[in-house]
Amino acid sequence: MRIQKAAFKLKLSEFTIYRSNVFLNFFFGCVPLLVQIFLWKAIYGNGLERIGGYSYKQMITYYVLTFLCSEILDARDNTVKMSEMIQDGQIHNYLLKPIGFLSLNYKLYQAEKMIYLLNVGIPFLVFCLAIHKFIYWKAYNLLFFVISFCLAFVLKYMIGCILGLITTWVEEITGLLDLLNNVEKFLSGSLIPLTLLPSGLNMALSFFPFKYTLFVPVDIYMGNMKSQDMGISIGIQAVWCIVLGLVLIILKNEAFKKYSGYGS
Amino acid sequence: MISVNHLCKTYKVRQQTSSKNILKSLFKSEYRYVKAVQDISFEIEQGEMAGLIGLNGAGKTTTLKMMAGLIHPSEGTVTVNGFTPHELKKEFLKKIGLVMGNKSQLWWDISAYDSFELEGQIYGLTLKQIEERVADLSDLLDVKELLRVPVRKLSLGERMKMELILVLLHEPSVLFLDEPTIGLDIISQKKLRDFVKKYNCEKKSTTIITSHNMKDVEELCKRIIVIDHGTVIYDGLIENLKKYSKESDFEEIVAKLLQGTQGQ
Repeated sequence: MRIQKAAFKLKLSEFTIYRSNVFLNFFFGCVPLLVQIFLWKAIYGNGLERIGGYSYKQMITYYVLTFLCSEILDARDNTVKMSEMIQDGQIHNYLLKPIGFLSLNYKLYQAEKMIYLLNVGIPFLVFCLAIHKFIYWKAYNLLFFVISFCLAFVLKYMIGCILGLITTWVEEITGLLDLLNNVEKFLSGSLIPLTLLPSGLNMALSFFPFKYTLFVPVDIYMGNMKSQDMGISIGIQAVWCIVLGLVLIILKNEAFKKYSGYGS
Repeated sequence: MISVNHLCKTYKVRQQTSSKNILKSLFKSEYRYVKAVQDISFEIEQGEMAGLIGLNGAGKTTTLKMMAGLIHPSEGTVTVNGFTPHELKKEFLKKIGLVMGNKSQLWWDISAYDSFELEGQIYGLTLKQIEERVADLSDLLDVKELLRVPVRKLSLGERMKMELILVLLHEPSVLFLDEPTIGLDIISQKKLRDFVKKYNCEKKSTTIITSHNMKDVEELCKRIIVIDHGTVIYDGLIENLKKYSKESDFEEIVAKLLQGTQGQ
């Protein structure tokens, strides 16, 4: 806990340097969200009550929530940083600390995300109030949403780390990262709700972890899941966390066995 | 005590292909094997200060990295205070410190003190202990006024002093210094050397220094290990080397020694 506190303090100092970047990125990120509101208004304007099980308000809420969740859960920066650290040898700084590489990295990552949430939380609420007419406020399953969101947070972090560690073998992961990012956007429900996809494809996506990194927590918030399905989905999220956690530990051990730090 | 026995390290390095073979390289990469360290053996007693000297690419830093546990040896063994370094056991990591002249361990955008706080917490120090140790060390190194200045605004000499404070915060009993005076002016070099000498005297730490600056080695160490092409060509007291040489300048003596092996 003391290390977590120190990590929080360090990241807070760092945040004060980059605060304008964070706010600008967030506010410009809201622009496509406004486009979605008008786009779906036009689609629902044709007399459709529900699309993919979502009412108009639910659809807008879906996009607002997926926007905020993907901003918080985004692990791309951590992956890129990890990859660069392996390439330029800066990873030495983490390896020689008596806390473990992944543990220190996760504590810093968590602190960064907490600070981000604290800083964009109020502007986000103001934004939601400004478009409150379009928002579906009834959160049936807030507790389950929080549990599912936390598991999604860990899942996204681990997927990012696995990708970052692959640098030890392939040296350059930018292409792989971009590919995964685009695939993930689609498969996680960031672009459209997965219920709009053909049921066969939707079913197939249940066998990949991506759905559980965004769509599942948001769908739980929307109250679209029966309590039994909710339990199963959270259970599957937990299983993915364990599986990816094991993969990550094995990969980390193998990566550092192979790591040469040559030239650095 | 540090014990190095028949240590070898071979790097597998991917070859850059010529434009002729660029298509072929998309499917099959070519590698070459670089023998960085070949059958090195030596022992260093507790509290001893020894210098590792050699030309660029001789294998000094690779040897140092294997002693610190950053990379796995291809063959042979290293033990440091009874630990196998690359196992990266917590008890081992708590006892060592590594400073690399060309790698910063400080957080670039924030003050060095923020980095010290996190570092101290990682090593289980209390806030009071951190405060006291930073005060002592910064006093000795004459950087007390700069503790709250962002690291990127420090000069190279000031930054190197901060790096030393960071590494010495947990009072390691084994200290690895990889070119600690690289790029520093003569006054900063002298201050840094005096400080390392004082630390070694007070804490009885085992210290290994690699440097191209012969003044560092001559002033700090009684014993040197000269490495060339990955093998030890001299291991003994500086005094003996001087005694049997026609030259009086230490730098000249080492240059002759290395030129001798280059000519062979």
